[in-house]
Amino acid sequence: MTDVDNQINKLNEEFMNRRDFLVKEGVVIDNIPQGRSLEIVKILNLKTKTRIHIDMNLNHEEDVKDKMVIEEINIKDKKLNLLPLISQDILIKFIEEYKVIEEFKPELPKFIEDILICTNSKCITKNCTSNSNLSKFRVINKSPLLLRCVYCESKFNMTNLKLNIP
Amino acid sequence: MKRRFNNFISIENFSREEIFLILKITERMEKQIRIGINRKLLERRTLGILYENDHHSRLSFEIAMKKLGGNVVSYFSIDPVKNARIISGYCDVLAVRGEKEGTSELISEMVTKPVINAGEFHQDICKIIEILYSINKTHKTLENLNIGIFGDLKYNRFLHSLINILTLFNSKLYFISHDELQLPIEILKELNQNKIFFLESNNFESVVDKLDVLYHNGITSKEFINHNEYEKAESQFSIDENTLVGVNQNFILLSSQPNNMISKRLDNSKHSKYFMQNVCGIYVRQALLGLSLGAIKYEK
Repeated sequence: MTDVDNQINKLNEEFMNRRDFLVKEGVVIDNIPQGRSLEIVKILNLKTKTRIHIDMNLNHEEDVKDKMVIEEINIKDKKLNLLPLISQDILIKFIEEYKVIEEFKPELPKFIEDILICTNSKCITKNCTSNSNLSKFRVINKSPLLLRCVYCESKFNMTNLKLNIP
Repeated sequence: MKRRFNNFISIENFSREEIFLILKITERMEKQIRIGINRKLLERRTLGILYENDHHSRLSFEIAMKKLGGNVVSYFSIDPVKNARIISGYCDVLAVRGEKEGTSELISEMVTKPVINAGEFHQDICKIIEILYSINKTHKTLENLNIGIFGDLKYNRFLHSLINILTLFNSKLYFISHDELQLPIEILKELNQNKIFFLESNNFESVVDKLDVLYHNGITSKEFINHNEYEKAESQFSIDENTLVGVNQNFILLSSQPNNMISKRLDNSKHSKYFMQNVCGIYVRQALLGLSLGAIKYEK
């Protein structure tokens, strides 16, 4: 690769990493693990007309990550706070008038409802006929993440759980 | 009264002090029943029992309620959740015995009446308080006892929650089980972290002389793939007079009932307290019923 190529690559990379500032109003979700940005779209349950920019496989300090910009400011904080289920490192920035006005790491609420499925086959949530999406987990420990089903009281970490997304 | 004291679903919702309080109330209840007062404590109240499998615990709930002057309706259903709302309209308190884990928790969210867990695979609040009460009654304390637990320690989650509660009272724990049914590593790690003394063993002989209490939960053939293996384990872990040679003066044997692995000849031994434990179960259930209906106050 020539020097010019290298420079172009570098500029490209920089451009991609700074793309959030090309959005007038919106939310940037950074440090998404590689290939999991589509799960986030489903968790946030975004409206069909919302414009979403997804950059996949960006090089970031010898690591590969995804990044997402959503052109909607009125996302409910409640849903953003579920993102540590995907990764603990996720960073959220709010943008207004091309400037970052707020930057924070989302924190899981005490109870997580509906978004996860209990994998214990004897749990009532697996056998309940009246409400098939029923689930409720209590967060015992935030890092490393440890959850406990409110109904069957089994403890889980994220590797043993499934996300309840279409 | 706080809302959470109405429902008795998981023992883990209660602190050490609250458990002591419940035991104290149970003790008072036992005395009052023996003297003959409190016969109309729950008059004109109705207990609804929803059950998926029949068990003597249903009977003990019925007797507990009737001895306090209340009425009982019981309803068998394969899907208790479906009918819970209807039954709760007919009665003042519900006792739920479900096959699936978490049935009573789910029902308590659906109905406005207080709910008592009458036994599930993973959690049985009445049985645990019954065991604690029996220990407290015979030893006059719960602290610093040597407690042995026998059963399917690997898969039986009721025993896990029993162990969890016993750690609150500085007990020394002895886990006796078949080699393949020992406690899972995660629980042993937790015990280690909390600096709880425990010892694992695969026979009674090595530990029985150190014990103050032995809880014998029995094992079933379901836990073994090979039936011969089960028969071997059954004969190895059955208890008779010879097993109890050299035990402490105050040693007591508690057990889940019915239990085929305890010899019939032991029934009249001074160490066997499992029938007393069953009778205590009635007082425990009476205390819980009284508390959940607000007929007994929480104050010491």
